[in-house]
Amino acid sequence: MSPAWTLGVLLLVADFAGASAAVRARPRAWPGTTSPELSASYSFLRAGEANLQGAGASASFHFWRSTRLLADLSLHSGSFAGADLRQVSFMGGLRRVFREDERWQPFGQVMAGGARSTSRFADVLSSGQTRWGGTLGIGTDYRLSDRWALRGQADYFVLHSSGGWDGDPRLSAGLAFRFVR
Amino acid sequence: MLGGVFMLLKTGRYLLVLMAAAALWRCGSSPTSPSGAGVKLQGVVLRDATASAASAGLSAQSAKAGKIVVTVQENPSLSVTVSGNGTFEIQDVPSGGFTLVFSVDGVVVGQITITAVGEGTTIRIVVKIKDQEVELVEIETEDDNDDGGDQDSGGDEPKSCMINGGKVSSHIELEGNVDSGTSSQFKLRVNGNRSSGLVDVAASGASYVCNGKKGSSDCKSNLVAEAKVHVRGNLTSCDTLVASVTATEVKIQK
Repeated sequence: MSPAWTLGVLLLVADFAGASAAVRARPRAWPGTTSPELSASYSFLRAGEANLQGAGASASFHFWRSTRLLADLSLHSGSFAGADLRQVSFMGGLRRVFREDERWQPFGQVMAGGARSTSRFADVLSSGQTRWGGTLGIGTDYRLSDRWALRGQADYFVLHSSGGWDGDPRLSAGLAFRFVR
Repeated sequence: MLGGVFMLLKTGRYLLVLMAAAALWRCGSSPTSPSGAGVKLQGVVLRDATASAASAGLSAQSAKAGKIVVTVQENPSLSVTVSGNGTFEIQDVPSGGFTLVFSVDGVVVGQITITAVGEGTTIRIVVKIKDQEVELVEIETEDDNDDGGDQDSGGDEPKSCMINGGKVSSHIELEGNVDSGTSSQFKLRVNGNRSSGLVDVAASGASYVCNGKKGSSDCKSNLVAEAKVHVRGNLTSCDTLVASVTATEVKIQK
């Protein structure tokens, strides 16, 4: 198991809230931990040797305890060596949120799905490939209000193509909205 | 107060975890690209590329593509696997010139020779692999040591390139007759007085067009001495005595 995967698994199973509970001053309980949530973000993707920029959107729904079901869609584009590159990724999985009663709410997530990469040269030649695999990710929400939160996130895409396995990191920053009743 | 300090430490811990994760990611994400100064090669491989109008058939064709490996013939330890989106990068390729060997699932499908490359240059290429054939679609060179000065010989400055209007690292089109050589490497006698000497043309990765018919396998055999050709490519080096062009397309007119 690679170091990145090991780190991801540790983050998913670790209980960050454990050791220092007695010291912390709990500000308040944030409502809507079981409410649906939408987020939108700007993101940067290192795809192969190319640096791509784009946007992503995700939706999550309460599943069990502090675990949420997650769907994620992102589109990135950029250029490399004179060719225009584009990548659309579509993933679904689980997210575990830690410290749901605090302003900073870190989370870890695993997803499975695919990514469609397209390379185009001078609008004349193009080729494309769909790759399948998954992602490991960590991030944190900073709650601005009951509904809104700032979100920072880092994911690692592991995708399989006919050429083997690729590992592509993605960094995102954006806003999350919770449908609190 | 204590709570505030604790919050700060906690936030710092998350940031550290994020940074450690990012560092781990970069360890495994790049193919074997030896680092260091010298010539850098960046490329994109279009697998089974088709014209945009026929893009509906792309996915079926692309699924057939296998693992593509690019190896520098002069130094086989410089070898990278092309990533899923077709990008690859090799650092420290030999200055002067080198040949890239493309293989799919271990089977060599073609090679491209790039000549007259100076130290500190970044070469960007777009390559098409189709039907067990490698074709150089585009080549662009950038001198990382260039101070932005124009190498073109214009005005009252002394002439530094034997081709009128020739600028190193830029696109060039030349018309003339083949003096000697083969379809992968030949010397071109440029029409008129545009060039004061023969131009070396590296055409191993170029596409060949004969009488308007592209891709004919017999076309390359028409490249013989005195054949009239139109060469499109990149001027990789030029001085008052020698000039080299890496061709992306060679049209044989007669």
